[in-house]
Amino acid sequence: MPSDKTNQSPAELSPASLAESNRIDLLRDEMTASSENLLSQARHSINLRLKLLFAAISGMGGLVLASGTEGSALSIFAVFFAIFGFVFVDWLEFFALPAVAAYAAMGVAAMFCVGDFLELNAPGQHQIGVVAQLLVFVQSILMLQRKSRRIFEQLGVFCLLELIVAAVFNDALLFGVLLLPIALIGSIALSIIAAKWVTEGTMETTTRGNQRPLLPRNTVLVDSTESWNSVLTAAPRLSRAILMMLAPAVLLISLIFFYALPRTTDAARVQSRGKAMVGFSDELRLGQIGQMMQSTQPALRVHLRERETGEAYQVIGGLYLRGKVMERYEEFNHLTGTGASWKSLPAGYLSEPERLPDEYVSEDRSDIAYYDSVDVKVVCESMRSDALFAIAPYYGTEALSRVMHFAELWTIGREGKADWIYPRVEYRFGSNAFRAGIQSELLSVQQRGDPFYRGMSVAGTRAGVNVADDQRRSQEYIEQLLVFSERTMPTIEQLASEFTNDTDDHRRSDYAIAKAMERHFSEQGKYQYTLNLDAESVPGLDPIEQFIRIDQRGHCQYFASALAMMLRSQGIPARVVAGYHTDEYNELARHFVARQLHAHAWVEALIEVKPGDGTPTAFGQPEANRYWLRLDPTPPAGRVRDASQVGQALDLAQTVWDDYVIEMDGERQQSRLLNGGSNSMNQSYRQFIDRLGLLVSRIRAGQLGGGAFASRDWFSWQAALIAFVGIFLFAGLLRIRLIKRQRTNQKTNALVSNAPSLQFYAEALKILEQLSIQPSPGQTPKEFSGVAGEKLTGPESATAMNALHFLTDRFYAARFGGQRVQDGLATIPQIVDSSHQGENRPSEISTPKAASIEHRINLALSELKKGVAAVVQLDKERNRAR
Amino acid sequence: MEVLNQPTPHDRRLSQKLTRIGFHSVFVGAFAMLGGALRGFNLLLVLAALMVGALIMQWRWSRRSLERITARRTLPSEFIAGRKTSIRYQIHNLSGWIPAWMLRIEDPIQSDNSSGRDTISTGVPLIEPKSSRVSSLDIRFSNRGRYRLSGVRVMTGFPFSLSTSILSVTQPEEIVVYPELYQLKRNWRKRLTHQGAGSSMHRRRQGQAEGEFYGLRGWKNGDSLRWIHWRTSARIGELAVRQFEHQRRLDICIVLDAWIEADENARNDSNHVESAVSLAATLTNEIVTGSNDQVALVCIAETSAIIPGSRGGDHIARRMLESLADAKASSNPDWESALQQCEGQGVRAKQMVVISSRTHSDFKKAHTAEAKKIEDWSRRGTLQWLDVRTDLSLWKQDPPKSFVERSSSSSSEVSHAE
Repeated sequence: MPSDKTNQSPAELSPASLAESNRIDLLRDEMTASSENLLSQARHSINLRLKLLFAAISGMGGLVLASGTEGSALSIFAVFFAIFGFVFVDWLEFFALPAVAAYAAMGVAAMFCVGDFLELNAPGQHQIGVVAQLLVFVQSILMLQRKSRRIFEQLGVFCLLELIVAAVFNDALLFGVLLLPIALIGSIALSIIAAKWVTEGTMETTTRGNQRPLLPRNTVLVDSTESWNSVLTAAPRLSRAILMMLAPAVLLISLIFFYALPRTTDAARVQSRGKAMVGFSDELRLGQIGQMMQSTQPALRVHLRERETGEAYQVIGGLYLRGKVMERYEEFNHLTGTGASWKSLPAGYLSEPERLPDEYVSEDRSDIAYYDSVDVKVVCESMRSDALFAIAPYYGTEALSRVMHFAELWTIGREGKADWIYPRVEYRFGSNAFRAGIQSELLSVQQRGDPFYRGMSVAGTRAGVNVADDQRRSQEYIEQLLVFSERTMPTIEQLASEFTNDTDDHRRSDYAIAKAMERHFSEQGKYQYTLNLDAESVPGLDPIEQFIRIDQRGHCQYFASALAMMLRSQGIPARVVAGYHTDEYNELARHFVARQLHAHAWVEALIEVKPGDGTPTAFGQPEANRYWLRLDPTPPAGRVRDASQVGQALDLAQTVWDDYVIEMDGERQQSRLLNGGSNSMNQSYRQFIDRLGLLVSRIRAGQLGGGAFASRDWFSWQAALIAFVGIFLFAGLLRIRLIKRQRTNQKTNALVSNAPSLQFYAEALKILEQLSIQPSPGQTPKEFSGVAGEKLTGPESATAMNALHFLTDRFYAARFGGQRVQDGLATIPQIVDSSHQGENRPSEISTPKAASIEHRINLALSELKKGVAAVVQLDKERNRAR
Repeated sequence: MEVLNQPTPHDRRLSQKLTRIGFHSVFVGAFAMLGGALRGFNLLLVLAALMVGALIMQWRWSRRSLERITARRTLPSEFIAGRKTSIRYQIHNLSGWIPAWMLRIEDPIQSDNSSGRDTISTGVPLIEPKSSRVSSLDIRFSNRGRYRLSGVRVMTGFPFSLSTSILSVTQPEEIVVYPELYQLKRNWRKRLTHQGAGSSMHRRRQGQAEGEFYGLRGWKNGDSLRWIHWRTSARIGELAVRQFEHQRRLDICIVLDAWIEADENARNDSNHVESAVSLAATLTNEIVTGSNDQVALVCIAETSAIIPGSRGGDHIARRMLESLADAKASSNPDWESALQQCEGQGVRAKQMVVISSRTHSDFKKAHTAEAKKIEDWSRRGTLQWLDVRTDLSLWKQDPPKSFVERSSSSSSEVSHAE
């Protein structure tokens, strides 16, 4: 290995120093001639492997950043440079960025990003996006540099930082999917670095420091090629050790740590505007739902459990999840024609939001046979509007619910307003809306003064609001639901009147009229359901009128709007409800999934019910004179859209990811992980968590110090038990594996003990092992050298064979010729000095002749090595050619 | 080589230190843990958990895999400058179930000639439980001198390079690197006896009659071609020469004059002194291993060393080479006390060879009194003054260039050895 320690140029050296330097060069050349080639091959191979692993880590680090909807360009950038860097810099070695250029490029990248970072008014998580950008830029520059251990380490650290950034602004399932391979590849790469570190160091050292000129300057040449080569050859096998033993152990420790770590804060979700779904706001333009339905993104996960048994509740015909109720229809003109939208009434018409109502318990106990009590849990993804979704009628089951109830609308919403996005939320309620799996279409209308309201404890009693006010407001509200313009929708009015004029004797019941109108859309086949609205808007013509009169094709919003207007034209108050209608049931996770493509709009008509008018009875809710009747005019083809192309397994994985990773908090730890422990244990654990919670809240509030750190109760029996059992099982498995390996080794050792006792010949055999040849039992060295001769082909073969013959002859001479030999040294017979016999340690003080023999043996070994290396190289090239 | 203290490889210490990437991991892990715990980001906690898992495994595994390791260094019998030698390290894994992966074996080495400290290293890929491995490294010292080895360090960064476990086993040993031994020209013996103005010796060698035939022995540098016993040589495939009862016996006192220029600017380096030391070592070694010759060595350097005349034996050879290894050049070698010691110890020889890096006349100028004593002595025997700056090439043979060049000439030697 060339030394870089000589700082003086040859011109500056005195003749004597030059001679000394030449002498050391000669020694060095002789020392390393044979070994350098062998070692550099092994080094190159291990380096290439390491470069590939780190390129993979870099690429995946970039991908993690983009696993949300933001930053996909960033990930393409990172992956491109990972591949480009590996192919052109690491593998083909076309070029490499010099360190100075790399630093300059990093400086430019940093300046660019800092400029971007300072835009403090930018929306969302702009700043963290800029940090991600900087990380990817610097990592890409590193990928273009020649790789050293330091560069490898920097790539690893940058990947780690990318994971940190991704963990803050991206909690998609893909993070988890990528984390595992990144961790595995990273650990294999680090283990190879550990192997490479073993072989680090120069082969030459020169004595330094306060040199005393009276003794010569000494250079020590060291050659550990053999052992280093064996280390580098063994390095690829480390991946097996990592995968079989260490990775499972690390995973086990990590799991225990993650789940046993006391949680004192609520799990935070990422609030990224790009990730939040559209949702439903107070205004819904015609066509808006059609746009939402282009996406398969899951919006809700609805868990229905039978209250008595806790079993999953089966639903027939899908679930209607009401989100927003809209009462006011407005048309407007725009460039391409006339548009329209549905809007919710402003706050003045409605009562204030309040807590979810209490459960309705019928006075007639037999009623319970006609409805099913179902517990509902809804997980609603992050959205840009405050609407939440419910199955009405509902009642509160949680003591500290974070959702509010709008009494007139039977909808629920979030507490408080947010600027940009509303985070993911999970909420629960109970519902009596089902009977034998079918969701009730009726919703009783209750007012203050009704018996149900009177029976309620606190929920309905609002201070300062009297019954008369309530009734007046209710009347005003109903008036809004009857707003209809005959002028703009003459066809609708005409069509609707056909349903009421059927019988002359007496007016049909509201229920019958409404159902007949609903059937008109869904049964007659006159209307076609489509999301593809390519019909041109007729200027001046109301879109609903156009839908009924001309197009007769559209999606749920058109059907619902038309029906609502038809009902209103006949004096039946009607409103449009927007939400989700889904029958996608995940069998694995046992919940319903409502995706964006399940967005739906339907109609609610306020009907008067008279005894015997054919209106079905609604159980599970207080009896009333008026009911909201759910009407869904959309033809069956459009009501439920199939999303079977989206895998259930993926959905289950997402649920598990959310439940057991993203949403893990103190409450879940207790309910999911600590169930089954004794109460006293849970209690003490809870107390401990509470204390810790107090501490963390103080830290968050900036109140550090005090006696808060006095807690010593860091022990959890459950975690300790799990850890103990896990480690015990792991140790047991390891033990079995090692015993098997030990037995195999014992067998191997038995074979190895037949190896020759003379070191130089053993070395020769070791070199020849590379050609996969070993002396078989009973084979003489001469026979063996013949066998080796057949294998030794190629340009160096003649010299290598000469060397092998020489070594074999030396072996015969030493082993059977009775010559004095030590460490491969043979001298002529009669030099044996009697004084040597008494020495414990054999002497190598040798005559020049002995020295020359030693020299020749070493030369022969190196020639043999060269020959064998040439054959191995030739074989490799042949294999590659094949 | 001499071992000053018997190795005591039982004094062991196990330590651990974080690597650079380990520090980074701890820092990033701590950040993730704090961020995750205080802000409730579970994904940060997942990352922190992985870092904690990796760090714990790194700490436990690398420590445990070295806890039951024993390491012992074995040195060869001697080190000669310029010649390759192997140092072996035997590593034993006493553990019943933990294999030791990727061990780096370091051996700090310190020269007596400098305060700097270097490290030689080798490695072992894997030691299975209850088994041992020998790892060796080839070492070559360019020049003579003394080195100290304090102890063996076995280190591992396996599995994740986050920390390094270090097992330090104390095993102090000292290495004495003998001066480089030259290959002398064939006629060195003749030159030694001829050039010494020893007319009496010269006379003895006249004519064929060199004494009564005594036996056969192997050929050595300096033997006359006339002495070769061709029939035996042909039979054994190795040159054999006849030995005569009255063969000339060398009785020499080799004096090393380790002189170096006083003016540091005029002094290029100690190269000529080294040549003198090496030539002295080579001659001493050649003569001391000859069965009939006798040699005394007088090293006159910064301090003097005298080894009285002796006949053969490794022990004496080692003593002589060791004193040559230690010889420190001086601008004023202490001739006076050296000659006094010689007289005191009764060093006598028929012939004196002074090997120096200055001329005889320079010496006479510098050491008038001692020069006179030498003159007196040379009247009794023969004195030969070898100035290595001019005379070295007459004695030293250039080393062989490569195996291939030598293989044809050495084929006869090889074949007879079978």
